[in-house]
Amino acid sequence: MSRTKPDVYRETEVQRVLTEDERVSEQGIRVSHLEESTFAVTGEVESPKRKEVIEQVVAEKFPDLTVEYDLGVTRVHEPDEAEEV
Amino acid sequence: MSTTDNTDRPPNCVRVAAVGDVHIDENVLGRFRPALQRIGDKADVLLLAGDLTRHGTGDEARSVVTEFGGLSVPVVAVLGNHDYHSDAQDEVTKILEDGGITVLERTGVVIDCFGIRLGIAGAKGFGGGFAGRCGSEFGEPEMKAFIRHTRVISEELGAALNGLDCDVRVALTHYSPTPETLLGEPLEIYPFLGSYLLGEVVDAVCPELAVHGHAHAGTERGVTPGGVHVRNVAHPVIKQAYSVYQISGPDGATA
Ligand SMILES: [Fe+2]
Ligand SMILES: [Fe+2]
Repeated sequence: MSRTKPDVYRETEVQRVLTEDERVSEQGIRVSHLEESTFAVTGEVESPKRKEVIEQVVAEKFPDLTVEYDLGVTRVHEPDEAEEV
Repeated sequence: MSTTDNTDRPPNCVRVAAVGDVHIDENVLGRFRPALQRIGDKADVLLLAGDLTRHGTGDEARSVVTEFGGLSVPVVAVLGNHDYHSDAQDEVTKILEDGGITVLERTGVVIDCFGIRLGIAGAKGFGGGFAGRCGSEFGEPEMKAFIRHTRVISEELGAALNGLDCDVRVALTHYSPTPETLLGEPLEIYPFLGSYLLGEVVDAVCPELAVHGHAHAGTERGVTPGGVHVRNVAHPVIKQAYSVYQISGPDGATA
């Protein structure tokens, strides 16, 4: 009997590729299951280039999945005030 | 090591700037620099809480020096797990040190901040989980080695903290000494984000502040079980180039 792989394994595969593919190496990106074969990839990255690379690698490795991206580039402005601790 | 002159700073305090998880590679290079140009107006020292690089290569370490070297304040760092990924942590450390960045690993440094001696002890730290929900040195060699790594680092960090001759003490790690600053991360991965063993040695010395990174989806503020203020300064958590924590000097100190 042949069955398609449950989405929960696909979700984990995407998560591991984001960490273990040397072009990405991101541990802080969240992958969540939206509906059948559809996933959301959300989180913060350090440059616009990293967003591009993530989308490119996921498309290459998982051509059959629909992935919705919500990736932001973390801001790098000076702090307004100090916190007293 | 001492800070440069600054006439506008508030009296009798040290101002500790900190950020972690900057994950510098050639595409990130230059993004932080504009916000660092005047850091001496806002802080006396900059702490980097690990994951300075993406893959821990020599090239990335050189980019870290370009981005965070030659500032108007001393820069003190610990490495994170990403900085170990290429098995080149010794080379990374040497490149950072040659670039003027002090790298701590179960060691300490004391910086004179306008008459107040700021002592910083630092270590990468490691995982294992938190009290009541943690791994033990038991069973397979891999499991024993995992928890032993955390225990040895924690013990040596504790000794470094204890050995600081200073007025104000700060603990700097990559992994967290408390679950409180992990809030926002999935509970299931807490054992990979920190260890109560780090918290225990921090609480034995009670520094004025403990700073860590690593938990990109965590929370900035928390305390250890012993009441030490902890700040998760992972860049995606603080969402600015660095945060500044102002710590009062000892009573009667002149500054
Ligand atoms: Fe990180
Ligand atoms: Fe990390």
